[in-house]
Amino acid sequence: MTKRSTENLRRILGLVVRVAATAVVAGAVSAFAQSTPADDPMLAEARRAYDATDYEHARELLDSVIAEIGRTSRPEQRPVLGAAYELRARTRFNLKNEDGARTDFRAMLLVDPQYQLAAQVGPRVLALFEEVKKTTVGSVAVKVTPADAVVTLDESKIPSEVASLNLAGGTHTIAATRTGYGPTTQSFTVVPGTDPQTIALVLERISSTIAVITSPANVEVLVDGVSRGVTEPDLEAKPGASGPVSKRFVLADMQNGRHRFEFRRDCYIGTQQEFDVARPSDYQMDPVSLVAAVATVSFDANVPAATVFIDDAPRGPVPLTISDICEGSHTIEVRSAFGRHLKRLELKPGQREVFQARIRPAFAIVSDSGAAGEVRGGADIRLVGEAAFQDTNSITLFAPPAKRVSDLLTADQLPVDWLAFDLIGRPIGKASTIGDPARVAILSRLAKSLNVQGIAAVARNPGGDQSDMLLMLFAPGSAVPDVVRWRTDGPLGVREAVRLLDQVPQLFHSSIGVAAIDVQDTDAAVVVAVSPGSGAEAAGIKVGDAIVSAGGAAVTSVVQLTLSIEAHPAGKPLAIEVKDLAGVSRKADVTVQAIPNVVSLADQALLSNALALQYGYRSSSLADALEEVTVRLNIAALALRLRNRVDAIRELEGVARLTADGRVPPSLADAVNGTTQYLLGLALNAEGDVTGAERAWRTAAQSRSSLLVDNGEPIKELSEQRLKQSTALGAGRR
Amino acid sequence: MNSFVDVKRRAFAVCLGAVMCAAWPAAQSPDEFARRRIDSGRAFLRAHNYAEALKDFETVLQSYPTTAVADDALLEIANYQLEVAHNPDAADARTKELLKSYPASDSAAMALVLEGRIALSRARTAEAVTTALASFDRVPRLYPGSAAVPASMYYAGESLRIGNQREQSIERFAQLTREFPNSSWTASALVGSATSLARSGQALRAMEQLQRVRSQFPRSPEAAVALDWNTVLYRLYVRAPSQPAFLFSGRTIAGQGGKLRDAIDVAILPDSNVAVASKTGIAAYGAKDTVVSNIGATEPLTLQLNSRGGMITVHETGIRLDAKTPLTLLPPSVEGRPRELKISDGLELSSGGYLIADREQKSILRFSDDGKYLGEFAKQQDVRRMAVSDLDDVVVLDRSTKAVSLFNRDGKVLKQIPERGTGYQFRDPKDVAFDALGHVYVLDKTSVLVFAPDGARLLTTFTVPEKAVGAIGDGSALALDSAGRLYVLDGKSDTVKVYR
Repeated sequence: MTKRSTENLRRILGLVVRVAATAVVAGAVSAFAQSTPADDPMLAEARRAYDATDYEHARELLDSVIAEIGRTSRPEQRPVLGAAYELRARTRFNLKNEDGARTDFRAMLLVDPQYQLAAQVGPRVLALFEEVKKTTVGSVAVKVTPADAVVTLDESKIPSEVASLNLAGGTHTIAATRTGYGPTTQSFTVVPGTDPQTIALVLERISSTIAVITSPANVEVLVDGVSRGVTEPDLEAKPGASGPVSKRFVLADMQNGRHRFEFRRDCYIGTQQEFDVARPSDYQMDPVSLVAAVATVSFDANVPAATVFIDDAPRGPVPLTISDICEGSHTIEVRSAFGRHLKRLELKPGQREVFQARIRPAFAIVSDSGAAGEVRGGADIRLVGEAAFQDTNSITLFAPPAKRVSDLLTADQLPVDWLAFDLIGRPIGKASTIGDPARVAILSRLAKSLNVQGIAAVARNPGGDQSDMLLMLFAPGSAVPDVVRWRTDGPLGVREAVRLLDQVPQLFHSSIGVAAIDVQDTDAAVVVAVSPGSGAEAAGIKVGDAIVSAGGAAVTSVVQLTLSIEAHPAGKPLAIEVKDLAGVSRKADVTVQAIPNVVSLADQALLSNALALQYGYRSSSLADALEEVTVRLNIAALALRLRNRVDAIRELEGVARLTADGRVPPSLADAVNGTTQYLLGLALNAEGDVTGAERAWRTAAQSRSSLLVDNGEPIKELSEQRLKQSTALGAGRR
Repeated sequence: MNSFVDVKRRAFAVCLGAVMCAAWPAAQSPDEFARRRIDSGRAFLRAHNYAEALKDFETVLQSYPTTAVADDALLEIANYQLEVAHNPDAADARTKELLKSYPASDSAAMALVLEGRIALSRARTAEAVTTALASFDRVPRLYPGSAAVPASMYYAGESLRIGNQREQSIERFAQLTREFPNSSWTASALVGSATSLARSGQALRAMEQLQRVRSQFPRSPEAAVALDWNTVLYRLYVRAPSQPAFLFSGRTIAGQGGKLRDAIDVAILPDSNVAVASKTGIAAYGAKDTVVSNIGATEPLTLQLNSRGGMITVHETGIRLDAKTPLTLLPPSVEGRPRELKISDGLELSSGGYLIADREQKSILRFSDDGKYLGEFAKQQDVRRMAVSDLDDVVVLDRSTKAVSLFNRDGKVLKQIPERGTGYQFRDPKDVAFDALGHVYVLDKTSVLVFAPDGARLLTTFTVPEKAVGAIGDGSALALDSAGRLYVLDGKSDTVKVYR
């Protein structure tokens, strides 16, 4: 063989060896790669070094990995540790360190007695591993009865039956628990190299279990009067008729005997049943379905743009039908920007209600002035008041939740009787220590926060008996309450109060512009005055004329004439027949006019606050300029009564502008303007603007009309009187 | 055996007693019983059974003085004394008792009102009016918000009206109607205000207020009064002067045989019957113009009615109350002897006392309720007839001068209406009268002249042409009913003719 051929052969053999070694290594690598976690970077580097046969470097890396994991010893690192030990064992084996390899294999099996080497491991390594295995681990079979017991081996969970389980030599503890059975623990010793042993545990039955599924879920389960929890929804199960079904709800520790089960859930009709536990066992109740306990309420309102609220939560605009209102007590309301209608209902399952709401300005009853405190355990007097006045047609009175009101008033530290007044509207008790401006400000803030139009309070009538009550009403900006007396001892006690509240003046009265009287021996209404510029004047009606028919109906009295006029549409001519003083008859068509009615400035029985809200409500839907003028004049008059001059002046100036713009019918312009200026004078005078007041009265004194307030005294006279008084006062001051 | 029977009897009695005790209704509380007693008394009051009513009220007072209605009982008694018994002293005593014993009660406020009314009932002098006003003005100050406030305001207005302070009375009434427009006192205030307005020459406003009573309080007693008074005002201020204020109604009261024999005077009784006085007595004619009652009277000169509708017959030597009971007059002494009166007419003042016209001395003398001479009311008056208004204004027709004089209650001359004036001349005036609103009516033979309440101007002259139906031949006496209808005793036909 030549030197060159020897060289070639050596090269080829080396290559074969290298290839074979590579294959072996590759196989080993590929085999190794199958058995080791790929995400540990140092282990991966060690593997690469091993694959490159750089065993020293691989060993150093593996020492580091093992040391690192040994320090932290987190359970999730176990597979990495096992893999590291295996790789180091093989590395050591390749470094001719069999003892080291043996040590590592032992450590690896101690970490994971179930560990299996990769299939492509060399036979010598495999043999070494088997040798170590025989001296390190033993095998056991495990069988725990019942099979659904929860079994742990050395605190790690294992199935209840295992045919063969490798365990490191030494003492181990197996524990088993199951509901209804007594827990059991057993220790045993594994001797490596011996025949597999069978560990058999039989749990002792100590009580029964009862499982139930409910539909819907979230049902509270009570057993013998004691709550045992709430069923949970089973999101993967198909919903039942009553809604989602629950997971199995298992009641453990059920003793023998009869048990009373109760199933409850809000908004569902609860159910009860009895269940007999004859002997300790696992029981399954029939599925329990609860029927929804809901009522249906249909809502509508007398105004558009109203919203339904149930227990203070908005539910949508009217018209609306809500079919899932839980049984029980609810506060149902329909609210608009100008008022609300409220009802408290006790709903029963299946009940159907129709709530045709009549929106009215709302007063919130915020105080009982300490009345409830006098009766231990007594009802909320505010609610008593709300119930008593529920039949009023003109306003809504209701009691907001006490806590809400209390929270709103906390900062003001008000005494309990801060809104107590006597029958004639004088503050009493601690209420007298609060000045008007402060009270007005607090009430304004309260009304805004509670989203109501006015504020109310109830109190005992001083000097009266326990049933003798007063209701105080405050409109925005009012310093003077309406005080209405009522009684808590029966419906009659509130009837008069309701009647007073529901007395709403007509906005207009119809007129043909005559003053007429009844005369003895005369079946007619005799004219004694004709208003200048009126329809009657235009029709030629004169003083002394006797009106004998109107609108085709005979007139034998002033009342009949009035009824005929009121029944006739305003702006349209009314056919009347008159006989003059000489007895000559003639017919005439007289245009009926709508004359504004303005509330009295002096009537002590007038409930100004309630009326102020009602006129405010009216102002939300005005038919025409005349109605606007009339409503605003009334609001101004009421504001004057309530000492709210700022609002009064604002409204009157508004009316003055409307009149100046020609929005008032010419036949009424004089009366409207005169009334406006007269009232403006009163308001300005009260505000201390004497000059402005006198200017207004001088303007008013030019009017030929009667005041639209009360029964119409001549504006000229009234204004001149005021001017005279003002001048005299001024002279006195000087 | 006897003892056994006795035992049985006793046992039975005990059982019976027990059963009766069980069946007996539970005792009522004193308050409850007192309340029922008050209600009983009020029911008797309504039935005009005053004796029984007072019994009930006194029982409450004596037996249940601490109950909630004891003050009400006292108030009812005081009211009775003033309004029914016309005994202001007794009313005053009870009122003071109420104010002392129950000063904070509901009735105390009304007691103050009553105090004022008592003061007015005793006298109508300026001092009495001031005292009464003070009581009324206390009510809203001491008992604000009380139901007595509108009542006090009404009576304050009335006091001022009675005191002839018309502007203030109108203002007080107006205040009441403004502040309590729906109170029943407003109806009364409107009526009171209307009379003041009418007397002030504001007939239109008076008519409007009276009509408001009818429209707003149609079922009130004031509504009927308002109709009557508006009728009066209509005649005088609307119908006249373009039309005659009156028309013959067609009604003639003629008596048996078509004539009223020896009739000397006529008056309208409270029940609307027409009383015709003759030399022998007084016959009352009903709606069918037949005699419904007769009272004997000896030669009365005139027939008058007092403010309560009671009849007074005036005779030459004295007056008789209810046409029967002579009032003993104690005239002033002349030279140590009682003056001999030759009476031509007499009348009773609503505030008490009498005016007697002495023809001999040509003066009018004032006497107290019990006939004591109080002084001279007016002199130089040869009284033919006189009449008195609701405010105790007195109108006197002088026989000699044919003039009509208007006096206030104190005898001060308010106005002289001479025999001749603008638009009239008295020919042979025979009688004078007031209507309810103070207008002065003068019956002048064949005409009736109506003057304004202050006598300052003639409002209208009513006459029927001589040959026409209803013509007044020779009017000798005149009366007016509540609606101002004229009842003229026509001496020519010996009938009473009615004009409306």
